[in-house]
Amino acid sequence: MSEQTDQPRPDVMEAWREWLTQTERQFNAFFNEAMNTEPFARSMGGYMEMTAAFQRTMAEGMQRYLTFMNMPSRTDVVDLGETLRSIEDRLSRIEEMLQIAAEAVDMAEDREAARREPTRTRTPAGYGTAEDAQEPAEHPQSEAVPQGLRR
Amino acid sequence: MSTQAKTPESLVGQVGREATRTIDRSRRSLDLLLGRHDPDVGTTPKETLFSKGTMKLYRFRPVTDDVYRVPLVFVMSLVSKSYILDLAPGQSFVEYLLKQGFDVYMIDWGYPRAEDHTLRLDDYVVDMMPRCLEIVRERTGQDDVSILGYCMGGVFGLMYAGAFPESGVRNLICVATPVDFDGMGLLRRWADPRWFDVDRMVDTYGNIPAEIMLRSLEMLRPLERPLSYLRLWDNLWDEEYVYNWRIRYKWVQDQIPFPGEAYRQFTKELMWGNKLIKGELELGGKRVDLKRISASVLNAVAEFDHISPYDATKALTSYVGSEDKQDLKVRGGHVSLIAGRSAVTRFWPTVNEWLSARSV
Repeated sequence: MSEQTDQPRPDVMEAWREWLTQTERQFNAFFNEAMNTEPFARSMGGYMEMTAAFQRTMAEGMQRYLTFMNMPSRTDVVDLGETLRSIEDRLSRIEEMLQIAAEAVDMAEDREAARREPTRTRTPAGYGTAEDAQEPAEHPQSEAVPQGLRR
Repeated sequence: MSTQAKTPESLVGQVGREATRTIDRSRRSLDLLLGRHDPDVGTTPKETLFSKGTMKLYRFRPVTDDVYRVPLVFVMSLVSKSYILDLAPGQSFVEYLLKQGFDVYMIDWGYPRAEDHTLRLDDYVVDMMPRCLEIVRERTGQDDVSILGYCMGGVFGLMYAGAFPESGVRNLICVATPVDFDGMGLLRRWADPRWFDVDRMVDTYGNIPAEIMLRSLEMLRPLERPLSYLRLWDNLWDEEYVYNWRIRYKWVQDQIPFPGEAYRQFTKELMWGNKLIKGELELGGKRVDLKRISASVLNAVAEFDHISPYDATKALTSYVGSEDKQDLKVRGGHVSLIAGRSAVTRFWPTVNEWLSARSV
């Protein structure tokens, strides 16, 4: 931002910033209009189609090459990942069951943790009646509430 | 503008200032180029209560001795990383709400792996979300929960509350949440079923690559990125500006892949079919009926949101059955609605006020 001096003078940078903002707005509006047309959507769809076809051809070629070289392909790695995920899921379930078992025997550690838990009795400042919950506008901080929030 | 001549003093002062700024610019340019002093994000202390695959349920460590009775659960989007809600200290929405006395949890879907391409919306809404919320209920001993969803996280919140209306969702805060997908603007136009072959995309890529997601979103405002570099250059002397730019840039560029089957379903059922507001969406054999939602609903929308356009978000409250529902329209964009100076001074206090009165 420009700094104030004793003598006001033209601020070239400020004018440049303003120009930048206006240019961005106008260009974005122009591009948005151009891109919000059927021909653009069609050409974009065509481009995505072409990219996907290229990707698929590459993947198939690579798969053949890796098989020939006796190396694992991406599909093999993904399959391995899926196996690992199922193991992870099983571990999660075991972990859950252990947690339940630990809670059942009321472990000392859990009792300690429970003691550290905060109480759940907090109320907002000024809260007293049931109506308060329906009318946040009466809250002391209500100045911060934009007009649109108030019913 | 005035055209008065410069005084010698002001000229000397200006030269001195520019010299200082040039030194600062050089130093910060080096920081940026070398990746030095990369801002830490997502640093609010938390513990993992449950995980499944890449999904994690976090509980943030409370910072007050007394918290509101109803726990608050953030539900994240599949499109972006979760630390947008937990940026640096002083700019973290999570940290702010903890200080206000909320017991805060977060369902973070994580960075999908290649094998996650089979995950459908059903898996998120009818399998993982109920399990996570059950754990929160067990942990807190409370039947009620509040859900806050940002962007697609809000869609998940609506789907869950619509599929399980008796599940005890007390409050639902949807931030920049699209519901009317006919209003999705360019994204809807580009996904036109006549030209866009979603099956081929998903069958080819598995998960939709992060690069495609990022470029699609950047195309919505093609000049934003190059001009952001120009503005950065202009403000390189300003430590705070550069810090905030780096945090924001980090998040914007940190795009994640979209799980393939969920993307297929999202495109067909929501983008093409607009089934969420028609009451025709079924997940895991359960119909998602927004009219059965009875939770208090706050719909926060940004007037100049280019990702979830105002036309797609504005009518959310008209589709839910709740009696207590409110709209909050903010002058800003998709990110500035939830993070940044405007959010810190206006949006966060508003959410605090709305939610605290409904969390006792």
